[in-house]
Amino acid sequence: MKPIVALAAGLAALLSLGIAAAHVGAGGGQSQPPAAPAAKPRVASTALCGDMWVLALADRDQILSLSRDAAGPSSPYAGEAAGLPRNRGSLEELIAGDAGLVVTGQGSSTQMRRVLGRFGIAELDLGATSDLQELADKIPQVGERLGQPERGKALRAAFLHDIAAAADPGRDGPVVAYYRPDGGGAGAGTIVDAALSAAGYQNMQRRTGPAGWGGIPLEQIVMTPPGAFVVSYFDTQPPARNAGLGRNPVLRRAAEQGVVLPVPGKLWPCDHPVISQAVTLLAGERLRLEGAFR
Amino acid sequence: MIRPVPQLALNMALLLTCCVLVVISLVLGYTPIPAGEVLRGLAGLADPKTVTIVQDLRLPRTALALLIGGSLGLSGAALQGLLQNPLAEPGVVGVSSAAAFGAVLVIYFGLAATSSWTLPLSGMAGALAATTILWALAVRGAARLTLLLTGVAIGGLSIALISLVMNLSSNPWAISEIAFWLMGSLKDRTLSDLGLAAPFILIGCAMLIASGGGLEALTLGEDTARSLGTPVNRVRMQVVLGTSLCVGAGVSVAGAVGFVGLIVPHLLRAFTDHAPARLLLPSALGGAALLLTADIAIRLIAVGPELQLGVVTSLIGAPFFFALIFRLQGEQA
Repeated sequence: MKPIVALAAGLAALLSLGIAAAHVGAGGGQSQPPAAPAAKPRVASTALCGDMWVLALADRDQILSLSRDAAGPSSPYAGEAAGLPRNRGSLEELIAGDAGLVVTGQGSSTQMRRVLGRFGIAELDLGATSDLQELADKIPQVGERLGQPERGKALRAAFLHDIAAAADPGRDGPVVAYYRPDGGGAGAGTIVDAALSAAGYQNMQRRTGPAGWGGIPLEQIVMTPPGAFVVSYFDTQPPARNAGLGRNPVLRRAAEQGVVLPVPGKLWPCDHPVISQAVTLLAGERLRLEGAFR
Repeated sequence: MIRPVPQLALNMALLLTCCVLVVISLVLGYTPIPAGEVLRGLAGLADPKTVTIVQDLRLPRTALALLIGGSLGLSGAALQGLLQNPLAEPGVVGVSSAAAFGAVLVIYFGLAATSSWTLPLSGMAGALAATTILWALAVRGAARLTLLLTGVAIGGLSIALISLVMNLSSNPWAISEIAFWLMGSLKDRTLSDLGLAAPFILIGCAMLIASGGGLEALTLGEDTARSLGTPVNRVRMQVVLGTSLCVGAGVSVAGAVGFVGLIVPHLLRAFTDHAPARLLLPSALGGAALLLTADIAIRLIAVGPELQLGVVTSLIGAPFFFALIFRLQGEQA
């Protein structure tokens, strides 16, 4: 037995040495620091959030490929994505297509992000933010990396204009509860909470519920019913359940006494400037609500 | 009735299958590269992009499928021999789930990024904890059913702990990452992943193969085995440690891939005259062939998102398994 174990250990050591050596050898040709970014890099994305940024800022002819979600029900740019190539999220496709830049972020494969640099492909990590000002500042940075500085600056200005137009700093707005088909909500530290505040609402979960994406306890909703329910993603989740809160009798009763404000799910699947459209929509609804209450 | 076939013929047939699968695996990918170019790419003679794709992506992916599949088949055969129960398998006795929990913990706390060693080490620690509990019970002379039930409990506890981690995570993206990782995948694995897992898996496999004689003696009963001079406790230790190394390292690189260790020894047992020692090598080769077939199937289905490896091994393995059970039942009736 012992000689076999010793032999295997030796083989294993040899193999790992060989692999390490092969890697060092291969690394000589591949892991050079990424060269200075090309004016308009050939860009690819393998997840929805990246697709949205690329479609918002890049030229069509600089887009190598997008994820299959780019034209899906959660994509606000489904129309723009039509006719552009799709990838299956594999590194092989990016290498073969000579990708110069890959936009990654929420939903991107961790394994791919871990090894991208090793193959000489630059990565633009979108990160995550729950703050609209931070989001605004991110727009020109992304534009810069995509070789579209002017477009980035213009989108930032338009975004800030929309947010400023929606703001209502005058008085406390209506209290709303945010609700998704999976039962979750949006508390402090989420981009949806920031959008609700920007549209002039008081997010009930920020005050009484948990931070993050968990929901408000139903008992809390029964005890202190919100002025309105903001619901989202009922339109994007198959099968479509446009009845909204109808499945839950407690919520249904609460909603019957209040107002239900549906927001298309595609306006905030990621922290992306398109969220300004959700803010504008919600601000308009608020004005209507306040008019009704007056 | 399936008749035992000569050991050499069986092993050569399985080895040949693996060789054919390796060729298919290297030629198949996300980008169409002609077989001749793949060959030139392997030798480093093709254009740089093809060389990179073949050497740095397809080759490690294929090698990892062979190694992980082989080690899972081997672990299953050895565990079934040790516990003398055909239901024993790394997945069934909780070793895979415990390894997965170890790895999930590292992912959750963000330690996976600190060093490339944390993930495999934590996976192996999880697997070792599970196998140690099983071993401690086996040494105390626990009945085989008790051992299996303990394994099921270890698996249940590990899954509960993984769910707890997902429960505590406030980030929906992290939850989906853990969920997908648990379904297993070899996508975009590179030479460094291979270098990380291969030494542990090879040492584990050697320990398991070396336990064959002891497992054979154990079929006669523990006392008889002792009287024949078999170091019973050492055999147990070998199987326990070997399984931990194989499963822990495999799970750390490819996520949890179930079912291989259960079905492969079953499919091959009748061909090997039900002798545990003779079953080990064929199970390793059969496991390698099964996992590679599953990974090839994933790449052949060129529509939608890539399917997860663990899902496909079960989809391929389960019908085979059902067919085998029905056939054996028919023969016994």
